[in-house]
Amino acid sequence: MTRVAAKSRKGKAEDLTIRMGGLAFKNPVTVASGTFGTSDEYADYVDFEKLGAIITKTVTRKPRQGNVMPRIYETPSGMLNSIGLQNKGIDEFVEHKIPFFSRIKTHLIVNIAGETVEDFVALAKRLDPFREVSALELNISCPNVKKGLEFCAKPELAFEVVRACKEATRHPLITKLSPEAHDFLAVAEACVKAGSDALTAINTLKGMAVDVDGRRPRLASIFGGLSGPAIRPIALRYVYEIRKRFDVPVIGTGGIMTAYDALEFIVTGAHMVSVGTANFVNPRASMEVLEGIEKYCLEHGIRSMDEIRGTLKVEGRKEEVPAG
Amino acid sequence: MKTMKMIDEVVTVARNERITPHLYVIAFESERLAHSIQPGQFLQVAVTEDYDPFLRRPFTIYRVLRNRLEILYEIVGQGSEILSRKVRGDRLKVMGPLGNTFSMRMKNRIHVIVGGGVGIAPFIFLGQKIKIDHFLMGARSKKGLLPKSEIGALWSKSRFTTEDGSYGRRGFITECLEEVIKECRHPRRIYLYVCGPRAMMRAVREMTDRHGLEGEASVDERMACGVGACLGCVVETTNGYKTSCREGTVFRLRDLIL
Repeated sequence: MTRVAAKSRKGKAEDLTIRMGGLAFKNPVTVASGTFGTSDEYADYVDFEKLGAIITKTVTRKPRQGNVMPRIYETPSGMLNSIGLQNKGIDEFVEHKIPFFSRIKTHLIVNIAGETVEDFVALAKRLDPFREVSALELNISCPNVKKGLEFCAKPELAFEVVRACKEATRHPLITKLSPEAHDFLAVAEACVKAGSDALTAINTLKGMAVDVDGRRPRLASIFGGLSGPAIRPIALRYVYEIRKRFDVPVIGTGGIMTAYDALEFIVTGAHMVSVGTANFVNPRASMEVLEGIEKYCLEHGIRSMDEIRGTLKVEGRKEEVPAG
Repeated sequence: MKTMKMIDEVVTVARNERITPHLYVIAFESERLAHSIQPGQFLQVAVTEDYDPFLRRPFTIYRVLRNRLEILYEIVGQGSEILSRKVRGDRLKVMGPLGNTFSMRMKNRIHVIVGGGVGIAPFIFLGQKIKIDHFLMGARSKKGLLPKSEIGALWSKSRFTTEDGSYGRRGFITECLEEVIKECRHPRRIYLYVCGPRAMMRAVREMTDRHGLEGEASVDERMACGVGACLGCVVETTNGYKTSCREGTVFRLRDLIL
């Protein structure tokens, strides 16, 4: 682990640190919830301490068995999943996962989800005393569980859950948004008004695939969340729209495979980027994204992330509703 | 728990051959993998460099000869089709060794292999490590059975079934297993190693329950990450869902809910 860190520190002058939600991150690269295992699954490939933060797989109040099989299906430039938030619940998380992650010297962002506002509040309260936890990511956007998208469907519900969590914890809150929201920007605005310190854009898109010969849906739960490079342009558009309208830090996520992909988000205005599905096909993806960003900054004389973030030039370009 | 650091490595194809109308063997050299991988473990293979198809494909190891590793496969979709077109000198990215292994320290046991189709793959490798007493293989037709040249010394211990009767006994491999159990003077000493289609494994499982036999099975689920992160490949066990890639692919037969 330390060997990798030492190697890439050699002769590096640029500063990749980020400030977000009152926290200082050593660099803008993190990993998306649910794509990085629950503990040391990637320890052989990734130097955890090099990451700007680790975002955990979603934790719920009670253990969840998850959905029945089949749960995944490969699609063009991506995949569908309907894992269904399988996890061992908050008690196990507090007992085993926090001690595990506390040994890793980087920010721990715990992703939480509930079926009710009370669930979210209970989770936020439970995690509040832990100094090992840097922030909470509110998953109000999972397409794979009953009521998963409900909080993201209506701005007033999103407001209610974020506000309630804000009152329940001192941890900074990051709300993860769904591209499935009827009025995405209204939901984003509600989250910001309710006190969300940052937003994550985007969660997966609900999709499906069909076995023609068998006349059956490929997934047992019919629908699944689409992730991977297939959704990157959509994620990028939402990051753009949020940053244009609101002064709130954004974690950009959706199909980031390379440093170039990550820089697309950063130039568009994202403070941080999270590498998700790419971890499944290239376990070193997060490290390669980080190394690539460092290299790009070095080669282009970029001395801090402030010098590149949100530098998208749109003069002479006009937003149009795509026709045809 | 983990003994060996997993890495992702680029290997060069040494051989890629169609050994029967339905089965292929691809071989490559990797000193590190050849010396560390164990029967039942698998590799996550990227069949292209450009993420198209997007996911890697899991393949168990079929045989290890010095530094050379071999994979037995059949064409089932886009990934294996691309793999079948690889020629000597082509490169592949392989990650591993992944998953757990078959038990190999059973004393006083009669080791019985039950393989269905390409599910026979890990047992040639297992046969390199432990003594095998019965080698049972079933397939739809002769086209999916391993030829004698591949089975080598295990040939004298082999029994075959095909669904169409084109080779060996016509029917299912469970009939051969029934035969082995009947012939055996100490059936309780039988230890089964099973891999194949779900229906076959279910049938074998029913027989083991009926005869009070023990054994283990390697399951073959669709996978994404291969390291236990995505939870896409879980199998149902008496102790809840388990990841077939990390907690498997080998499970005790009696623990599996098939």
